[in-house]
Amino acid sequence: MKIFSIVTIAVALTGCAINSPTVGSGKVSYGDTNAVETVNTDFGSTDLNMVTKQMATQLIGSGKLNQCKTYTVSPIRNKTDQYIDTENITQGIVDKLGNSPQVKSTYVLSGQEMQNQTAELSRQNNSGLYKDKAKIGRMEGAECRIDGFVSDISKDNGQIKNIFYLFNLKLINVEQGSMLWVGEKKISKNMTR
Amino acid sequence: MVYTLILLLSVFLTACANNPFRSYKSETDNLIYQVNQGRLKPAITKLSQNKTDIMSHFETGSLYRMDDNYQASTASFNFVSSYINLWLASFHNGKLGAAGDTLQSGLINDKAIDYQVKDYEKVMLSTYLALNNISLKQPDYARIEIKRMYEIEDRIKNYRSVQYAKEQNQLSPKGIPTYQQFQAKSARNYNFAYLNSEAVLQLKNSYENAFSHYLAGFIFESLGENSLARPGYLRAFELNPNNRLIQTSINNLDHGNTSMPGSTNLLVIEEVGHAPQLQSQSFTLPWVQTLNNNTCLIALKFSLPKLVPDNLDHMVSFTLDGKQALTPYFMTDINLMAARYLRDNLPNLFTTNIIRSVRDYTLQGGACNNGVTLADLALAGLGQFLNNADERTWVMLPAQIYVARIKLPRGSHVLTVNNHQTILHLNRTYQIVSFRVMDNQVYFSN
Repeated sequence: MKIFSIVTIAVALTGCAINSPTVGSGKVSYGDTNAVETVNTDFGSTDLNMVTKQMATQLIGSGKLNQCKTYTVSPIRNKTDQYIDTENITQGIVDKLGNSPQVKSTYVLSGQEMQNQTAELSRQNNSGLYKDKAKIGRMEGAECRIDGFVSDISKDNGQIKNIFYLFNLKLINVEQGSMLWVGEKKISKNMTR
Repeated sequence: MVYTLILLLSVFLTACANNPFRSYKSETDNLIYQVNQGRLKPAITKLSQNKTDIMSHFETGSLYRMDDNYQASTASFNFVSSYINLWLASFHNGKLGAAGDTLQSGLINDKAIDYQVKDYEKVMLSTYLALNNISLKQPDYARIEIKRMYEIEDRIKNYRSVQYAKEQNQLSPKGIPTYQQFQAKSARNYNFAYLNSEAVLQLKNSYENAFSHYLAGFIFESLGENSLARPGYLRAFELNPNNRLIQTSINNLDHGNTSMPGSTNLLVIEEVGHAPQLQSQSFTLPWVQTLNNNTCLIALKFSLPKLVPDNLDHMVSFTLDGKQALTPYFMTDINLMAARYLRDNLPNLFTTNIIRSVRDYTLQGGACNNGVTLADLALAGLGQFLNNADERTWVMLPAQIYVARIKLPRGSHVLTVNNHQTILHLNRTYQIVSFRVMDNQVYFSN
C-alpha cells in the first residue's frame, strides 16, 4: 500500500507538469531535388519533375513548336481532387521550353501573367515619372498556345491503393483553333498497407 | 503517514496547471449563457484572466471574432496554432508520447494531461484563421491557412492510420475485458447507440468537413487559382454529395462562369449555435475478485465523456435588401464530427479507464486481502474522486454551418437576420460575410 501511495504521488506530480514537447530534436537535412520521392501516392516532386521534363522533351522533339513564331502556355488545369498547384507544372514547362536551344519560337506572356505586365506599362506611361517609357500597343500576341490538364483515377481496396495520373498537353494555333500537336504522360502509383 | 500522503496528493493535484478536478462543462455553461445574452465583453474579460490555458484561447478566439475584433481573435487562435505546431513536431505525434499520456491519464485522469486538441478542432482552427485573414483583407495569409488546413488533414490521416493499425494488433491483458465486451456490458450505462448511429458512421472521419474545403475552393477561386479551387469544391462535394450549391460552383468554375464585371460574388456563412459540450458520465461495473481465498465483489468505476449538444439554436433564413428570404445550404455538422471523434477515441478512453480500474482494483484488492482500514478507505475514496472524464472541448465552435452564394451589384446592401441588420459594402469581386446565431443574438463578421 505504501509503495502504491508513493508511486501515485510521484506520477501525480509528474503528470501535473505541462508536457513541454520536444523541440528541435529532429534531424533535418537537405535532400536531392531529383531523388525519387515515394512518401505516398499523392502528386509529388518526382511526378512534377518527370511530367515537366518528359512533356517538354516530347514537344520539342516533335518540331511543331518551331512552326509558331510566338507561343504562350495557358495554366494547366487540375481535374483531380488533390490540391496540386499546377502553376508549378505550367512554369516547369515554360522553363524547359524557354531554355532549350532547339526552340526558336519566342515565349510571350500568358493571360494570367498579364496583370503585372499591364500594371507596369500603365505605371510607366501614366505616372509622369519616366523619360524613356515602354510604349503601349507594341506587345506581340501568341501565334500558338499550349494547353493541358491533369486528371486521375483512384482505386483503394483497403490493402492496396492505386492512383493513375494522366497528363495531357496540346499545342494549338490560336487564329485557326487547330491542334498542331498532342502529348500524354501516364503515371501509376501503388501503395500497399 | 498515509493521511499525510493523501493531503499532499490533494494539494498538488488541485494546484497544478492541468487541474484534474476541473469541470469544463460548468465553466462553459456560464460562457454560453453570457453569449446568449449578448454579453461578449464580460465573457472575454473573464476568459482572458488565464493566459496560459489553451482552452481560454480557443474560446476567446471565437468570441473576439463574434465581436469583430479580428486581430485579437487571430492572436488567440495563433496561440493555439503554435501549440498544435509543437504537438505535431513533438514526440506526442509518435509512439512514446501517446504511451506516456495514457499512463498519466490512467493513473490520475484525462484532465491531468495537456489538452489533446481534437482532430476536427485542428482543421477548424485553420479554417477560422483563414476567415479572420479574409476579414482583415489579407487574402495571401488566408491562402496560407487554407493550405495548412488540408496539410493538417493529411498529417491527421497518417497519424490515425498508424494508431488504428497498432490498436488492431493489441491484445487485451488476461482477465481484462476487451473493448467490445465492455461496450456490450455497458450499453445501459452509456449511449453507445448515438455514437454508432447511421448519421455518425456516414461521416468519412471526424476531421474532414465540406465547409473547410468549400471555403478553400472559394478563396482559391477569388485568387484566380482555379486549379486549386476545383479540388476544394470537389472534396466538399465528396463530403456533402447532396449539396447543389457545391455542384453549381464546380460547374461555374469549369465553364468560366465565375465573376461578372461590376458585381460581387458574395459568400454568406451562417454559423448556428455552439459545439457540443462534454459532461463526465460515471458508472460502475461489478468485478469479482478472489485473493487469498477471500472473494470480494469490487466496484470498478468507469468515466466517459457524454456529448451535450446545443438543442436551442437552429438555422434561420435571411434577407438581402429586404427582398425574398434566402435559405442557405447545409454544409457541415460539428455535432456529428464531435460524436465521430468521441466514437473513434472511445477505445483509447477505455484503455485509460482500465488503467484507472487497475489502480482502484489495487486499492480495493488490498482492503479485500488485509481487511479494511480507515487509510485504505480514504485512498480508495480519492481514487473514486479522481475518476472523472475530461470535459475540455472547444465549445464556441458552431454546431452547424450553412452557406449561400449570391452575385450582387457592387455598392451597399442590407443583410437582415432575425431582425438584426448589418450593412455590407461590396467593392471587390469576391467577398465573404458570416454571422453567428446564438439564441436571440446574431453576431455579424464581415
